[in-house]
Amino acid sequence: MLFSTMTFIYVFLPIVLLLYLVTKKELHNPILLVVSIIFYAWGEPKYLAIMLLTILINFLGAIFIDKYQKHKKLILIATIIGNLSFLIYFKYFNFLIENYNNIFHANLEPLNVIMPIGISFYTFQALSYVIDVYRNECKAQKDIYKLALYICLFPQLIAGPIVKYHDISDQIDSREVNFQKVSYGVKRFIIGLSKKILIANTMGAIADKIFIQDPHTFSHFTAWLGAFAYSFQLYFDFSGYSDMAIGLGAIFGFKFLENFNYPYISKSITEFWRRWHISLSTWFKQYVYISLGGNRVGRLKTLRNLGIVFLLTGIWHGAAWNFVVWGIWHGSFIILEKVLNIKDFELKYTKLWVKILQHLYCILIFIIGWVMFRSDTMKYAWDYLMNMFGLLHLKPDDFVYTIPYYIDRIEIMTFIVAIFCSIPLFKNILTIENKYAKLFINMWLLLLFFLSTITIASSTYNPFIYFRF
Amino acid sequence: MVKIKKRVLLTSLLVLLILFATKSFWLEIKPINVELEIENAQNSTVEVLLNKKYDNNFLPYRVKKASWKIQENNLHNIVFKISTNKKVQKIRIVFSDLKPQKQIMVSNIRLRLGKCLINREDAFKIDSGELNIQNNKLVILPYNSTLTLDYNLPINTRAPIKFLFEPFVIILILSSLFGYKLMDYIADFSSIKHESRIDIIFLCIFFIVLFIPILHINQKDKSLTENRLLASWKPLINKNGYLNYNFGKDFESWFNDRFNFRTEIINLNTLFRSSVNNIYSNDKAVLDNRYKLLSTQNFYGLQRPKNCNFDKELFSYAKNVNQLQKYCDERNIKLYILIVPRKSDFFEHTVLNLTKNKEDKGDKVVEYLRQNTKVSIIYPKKEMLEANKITPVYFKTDHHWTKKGAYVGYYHLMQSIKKDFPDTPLLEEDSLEKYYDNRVSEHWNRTLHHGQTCDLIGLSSKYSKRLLDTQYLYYKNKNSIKLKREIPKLKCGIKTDNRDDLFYYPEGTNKKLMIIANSFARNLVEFIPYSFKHTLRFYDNDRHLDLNLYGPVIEEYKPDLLVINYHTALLTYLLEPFKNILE
Repeated sequence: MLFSTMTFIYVFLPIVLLLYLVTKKELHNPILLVVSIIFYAWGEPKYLAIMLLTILINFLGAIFIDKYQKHKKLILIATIIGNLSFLIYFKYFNFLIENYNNIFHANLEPLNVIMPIGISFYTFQALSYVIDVYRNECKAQKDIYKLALYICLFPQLIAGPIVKYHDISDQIDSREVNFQKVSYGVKRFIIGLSKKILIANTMGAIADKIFIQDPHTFSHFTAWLGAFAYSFQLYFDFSGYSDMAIGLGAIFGFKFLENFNYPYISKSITEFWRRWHISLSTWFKQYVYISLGGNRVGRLKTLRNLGIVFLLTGIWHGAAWNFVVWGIWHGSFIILEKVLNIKDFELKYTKLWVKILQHLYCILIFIIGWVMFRSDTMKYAWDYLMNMFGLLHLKPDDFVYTIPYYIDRIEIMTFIVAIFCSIPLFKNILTIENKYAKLFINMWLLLLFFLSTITIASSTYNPFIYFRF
Repeated sequence: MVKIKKRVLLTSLLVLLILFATKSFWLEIKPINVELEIENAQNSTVEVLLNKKYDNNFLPYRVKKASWKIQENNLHNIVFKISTNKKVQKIRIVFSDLKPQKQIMVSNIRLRLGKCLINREDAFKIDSGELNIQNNKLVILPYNSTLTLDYNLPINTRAPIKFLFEPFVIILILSSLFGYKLMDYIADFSSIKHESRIDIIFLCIFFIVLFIPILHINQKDKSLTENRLLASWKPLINKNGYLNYNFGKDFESWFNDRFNFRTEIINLNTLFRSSVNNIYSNDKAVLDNRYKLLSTQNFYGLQRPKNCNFDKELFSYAKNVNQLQKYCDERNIKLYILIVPRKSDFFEHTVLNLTKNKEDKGDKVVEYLRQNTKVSIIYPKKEMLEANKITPVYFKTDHHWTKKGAYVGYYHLMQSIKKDFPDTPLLEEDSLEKYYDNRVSEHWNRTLHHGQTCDLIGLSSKYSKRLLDTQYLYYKNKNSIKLKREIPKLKCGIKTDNRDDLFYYPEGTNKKLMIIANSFARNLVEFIPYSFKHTLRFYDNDRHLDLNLYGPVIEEYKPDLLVINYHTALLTYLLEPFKNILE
């Protein structure tokens, strides 16, 4: 089930809230566990088995690590292999076969499998738990229901944030639900929903219209429009989902860590990754980068470690070469910034024009990255980027559409709103105490909720078209 | 004390809300029964509409209705059960799929369970046709296949409502207990007393809104505007005791089709977006608000050049058409292909011309076919452009050509036919009676007159009326009485329905005509059957020019002429279907 559906907002959510808020505290965890399982099984019940197996493997793995301290490394490796085998099988196996066939001119048949929704997220959460236990940062959970709740808690199950076990273990045992949290959670949920429905989907419509075409058939301006629209789509889609997850978590008494912190205002790629998908970058930092020795193993090995982390980050995002290249692209600039010591540079040069140049540099790098991310093939990404930078030979006669086709008035307005919402202008709106401001914000939130609802409801309109013209 | 009063007040409000939401459990509204007897109206459909207001605007939100398909010719006693909890003022009976000029009789029209009986036959009025009263029966001679019968006196009736005491008491007590407990619980929030009322009100509104879409579930089977059946309820455990693994998806489809205020919300969204934008589109259609013009989305696809394969595609068109010509020659059939030009050519500077590439694929195909085949290709683009200067040849809110457009197409088709069959009579435009109407004829047999593209964009008839700002030319043929039409029934076993026609016109030429066409031919058959004694028309949208289907028909019917009529967007039908049978 997705958050941005009528069924979730107007059937699942009211029923769950009613059950959760009117029952005793002792029933909160069982209710959340049951509804999380229903939530996950809603679209494709058979993949529930994978998630339940993941829970079982990690529960037993952690118990054994706790019990057999002498062999804990071996048990950890076995548990990690167990976790990753599901991920590799469902997400990467066909990619590996495809490349094997290409390299060795073989003819292996790809597997007929569909990736279970959210597997990348819950696998990483499960790994976080078992590694935390291995590192003695927390004790093995003796109650399998509590571990199951941690892994399959529905607010962050499908699209994160990737919650680390040590951040949430105490909250699973005991947490308080109060008016403030519920009120904050509802507001945060509405903000996330509006980001997803009103901004991300609108930006997505522009990007889709452009990226579906051959890069030779639109102008440089259109290419830049598509790249910016996609950049906004990605940010508002992902951060909107994280906002909804954090909001729902707050309603149920949890406090999840922030996942996005205005990444598009960054002045370097290093800063960008401190602000973008924070839960993933901290996961890689804590469980891969530090495990490899971090920055305490000499300069060259530190750079190697950074390279490995960003290669894995790219692979985590998808099983295709453009994701790998995207990861390498970001990793290269992180390494470059490390070599050039960007921190010192920022301290040394504080003039406005230098800062503007830094912003432009960062925007350019991540936008190029997003074009690779969005393209179906590297060939397409290359042509698209060549078009953006005026290096593709274009004939205006080949252009298919005029600009009004790509962007209408609502989309222009949304584009402007997206720019303003990408910078921390409205960062603290939910903590304002002035009653008139609060009244205005609450009314504005209700309006956003209404607009999001009519947009979602309208997407259910599906007239039957028996003609083709 | 104040706190308790507040709690009671809030509980009462909640209880009232619950009572309102569950009113169908404790208020039983019996349907109004409308009874009538009909004779001689086989295969037609009767629809009874009850209007809450005493006027002739039967707007969807004011109207409750029920319909009935008549199977037999005999006297038919029909009871329409129409549920409404509002007082109704006016009744209208709409007949569709009638045989023009064939008399029908209606009698004993009465309302039951209300206070009113319709007892004044002379108060009835029809929109087109002749109405007489004989032996307390309404004797009607319809001119068209659709007829509207209005009762001009107020009927002022209301369905009987029964109050069910027991369920009311149960719901009242349970909701009071639940409401008070809920208020009690909310009051127990440790910090609520410190919170601002603004947030309390905000949360209350949010939680109330969350329950609105499930308060009422639409129970109808189909949606007229969406032209489809609504998703049905599929339980988690089916009748055979098996678990439905698709329950989640099935539930979503069911709920998405039926939640409370769905139609209103969709209309609101379309109105909002189309009022902000000059152009509003969804995945099916595009609305240009400046010109009050609608188009289906495929127009964009049409204009997108397929440079890489187009030469190959052209070659395939010619190859297929030549093979079809050969097939017809072997059977001594003369083949004509009538191609309808695209709508965008008639609406310059509008949404239909958002593309920079104005190259028309249809033009190219026609040119190529004319050069590389011997088939008569009729492509009346120039002529339609000329005619369009005087009166529209395309509807603005529908994707079909108008009667005028169809007449131009017919005229030029006949010019080609007359070269081969000079004796074929031509239906002259001057011989037809002309009149103007702003409605779209495609839907006269429905209650929707705004054009099919309005449905695709999500505008109900209530809102789409403002788009109907153009008068279209229509024709009435005095000789229509002589034209006999029936659904073809062929021995070869091809399934036919009321979208297919077999015409007989005694004054036409003896040659037999067969037409394979899509819905564009609906307007074409207003003219072409008057030129031939026998005309067989097949509606082709679902059949895709499949000669496996049409071959046996051709062998049985043995036409002298075969006309294939398509819009430029559907020319691809010429590419595939002949492959298997001709190669």
